[in-house]
Amino acid sequence: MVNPTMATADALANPPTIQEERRVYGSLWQEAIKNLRRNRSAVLGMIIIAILLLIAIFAPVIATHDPLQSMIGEPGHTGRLPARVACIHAFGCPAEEPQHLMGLDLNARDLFSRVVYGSRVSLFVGVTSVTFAILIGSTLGLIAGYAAGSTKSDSVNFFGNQISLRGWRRWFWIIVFPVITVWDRHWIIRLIVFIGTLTVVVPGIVLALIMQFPEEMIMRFMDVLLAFPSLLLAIAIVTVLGPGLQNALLAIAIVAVPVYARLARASVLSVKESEYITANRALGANPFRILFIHILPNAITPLIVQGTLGIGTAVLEAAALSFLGLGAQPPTPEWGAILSESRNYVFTAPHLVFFPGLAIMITVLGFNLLGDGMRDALDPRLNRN
Amino acid sequence: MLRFLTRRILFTIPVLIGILIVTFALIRLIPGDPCRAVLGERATDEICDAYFQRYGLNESIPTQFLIYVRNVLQGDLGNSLRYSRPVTDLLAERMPTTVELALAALLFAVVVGVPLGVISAYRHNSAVDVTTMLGANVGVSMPVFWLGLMLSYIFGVILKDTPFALPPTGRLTAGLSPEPFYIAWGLAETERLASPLMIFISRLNILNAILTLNGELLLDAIRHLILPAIAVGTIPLAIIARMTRSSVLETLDQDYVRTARSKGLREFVVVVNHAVRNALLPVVTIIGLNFGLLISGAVLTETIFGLTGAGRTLVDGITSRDYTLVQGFTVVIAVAFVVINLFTDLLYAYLDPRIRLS
Repeated sequence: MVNPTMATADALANPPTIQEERRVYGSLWQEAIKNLRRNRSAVLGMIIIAILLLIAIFAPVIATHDPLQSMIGEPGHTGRLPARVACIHAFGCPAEEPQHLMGLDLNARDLFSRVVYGSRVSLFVGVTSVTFAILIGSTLGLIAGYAAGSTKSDSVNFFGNQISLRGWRRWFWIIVFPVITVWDRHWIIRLIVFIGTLTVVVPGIVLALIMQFPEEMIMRFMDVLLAFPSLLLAIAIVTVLGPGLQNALLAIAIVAVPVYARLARASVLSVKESEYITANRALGANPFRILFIHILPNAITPLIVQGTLGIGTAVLEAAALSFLGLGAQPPTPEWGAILSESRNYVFTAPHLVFFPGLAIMITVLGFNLLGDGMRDALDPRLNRN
Repeated sequence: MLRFLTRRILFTIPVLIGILIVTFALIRLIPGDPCRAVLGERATDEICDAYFQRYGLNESIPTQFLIYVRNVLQGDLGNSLRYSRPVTDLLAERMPTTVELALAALLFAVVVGVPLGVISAYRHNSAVDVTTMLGANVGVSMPVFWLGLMLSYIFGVILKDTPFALPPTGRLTAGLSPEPFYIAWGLAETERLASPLMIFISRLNILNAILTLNGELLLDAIRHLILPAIAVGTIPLAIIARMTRSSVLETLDQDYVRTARSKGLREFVVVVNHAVRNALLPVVTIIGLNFGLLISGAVLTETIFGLTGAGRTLVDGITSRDYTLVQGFTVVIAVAFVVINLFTDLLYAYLDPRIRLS
């Protein structure tokens, strides 16, 4: 790799044309992909995810049985459960037994086929909920970041002192002034504070609120969402919406929104004051153009990295909700739901719990590895060596 | 410092108000008539009128909200529909199990995670490091409930007759009934006469066993706590190990560590007193963030291990559509989350003189 300091000094001495730069460094994307291919955990993650995708796409080919079809009454299958499920092909079975790679579940369905079809549900929920969360979250974050006022505009001149009404001070005035007005014993002080409140503080607050309203509203709401442990909030949302896979998906997405909103807002704030934005504004570009064409690309890398990690979390949360009976409903072959169905038989038929859990773990591991690798490869700020 | 303190404390006020709004909205957002959603489809009009009257549901929404806030501030979270008892009583009764579980899990995560992180940073890129980091990656990817089930199978069935066997369900062996410390100390004669705080403390089995000096009970309670604590603590452990590793790696590169080495200090002193001490600051913040993980861990594992804690009660409340219970538990857990985060921030500021003095 080219030494960055030398490259900078060189570039300052005789600035290269864009074409030259492209030739030396490659485009940003090429650079990123090169970094990504060199990162071992990213490659491992990609391999895992690719295999999972293939399994999900070709589930009907890979699965040996219908995931919803019970085997009771088929030749060679008797109804004795769960003792009957103990013959697991993966662990060795007599040849004359009916072959089931992971055995049968409590309803005498082929567990392997159910786990294979489960990959469809989990990947779908993971990708959809994160896409949804990124779309909503980054839009909110962009608006909040763009609407954030500059620090000086909202201070108010109060008897010669500049009172800034940003952040905690606003809450301080909002709370303290009415309290003094109501509770102080001296009517003179009450009167003065009351008049002061009416003439200076209230207009100041209103002005500041109007100027920062979108930012304040959005970010404070995000703070509130973040104040709940995420699974708890998802549970609360599903309680209101009613159990089911779609509602669980929605709940997982809503819970994840604040993360992306904060990321997008931070990216906007970091480039908002830069000169190319000012130049664009001076050229008369409309705010939406500036936001989506000039500011958004800066936010994309962290969003992609966080999104990849987020898919893992979403898969885990979906499985957890289904495990609690709030997500996918039986007989849907969802990993968490399979686990939940058979959890009371863990002592007699542990394989029913083992395989779907392993599937969840491998999926989440794949996305975590890829996300971590991407963070190292794509984020130039972290690129220390 | 004072400025930081007031600022940080004032910042939590809007968040707390927001939590109240969200939990207030929770019950109002359930589709349909709140009375019939809560009391069942067959509730008559008279019953519903009485219900509306009693909970102030005839008032306007802002008034209802103020009533709700007033009730919450007075510690009145309503009556559980399923148990027909105050939600606060249920909390005092079932929270101790969860608190004990969460603390044990956190202890496990810190005691194992920090040394692992330090060792893998010190032996950077060695086999120990690679294994630990791979293990940490697997650890954060594991579903808590799966780990819990597998642990109970391994220690309850496979290792059943070995010395490593651990009880997979319950808080105490059946038949053992702990004597509450307030009775042993003569503070109150029956449970009815004891204050809620006393009941809360007496239900923390380990603390109660220590207070009543009952060794057998203490050992039994600890043995029952090991498996759930490992299940809940694994994800925090992985996160703490990773965090410690990257943080120690950074401090090991610092000039003052080189200075300490060139002074001729023993390597152990250099690493522990100079590098690790400074590296642990960011790890402190992680403890606050892990509270959410501990709570969701408790929600998912208490059923598995047969513990009647807050998490299990919450899940049961959802399946039996006990909305007041869900609302009450949610608000208490969310407020606890905010308060713990506040304390971690303050602790962090206290520990880091750069923040304390600025």
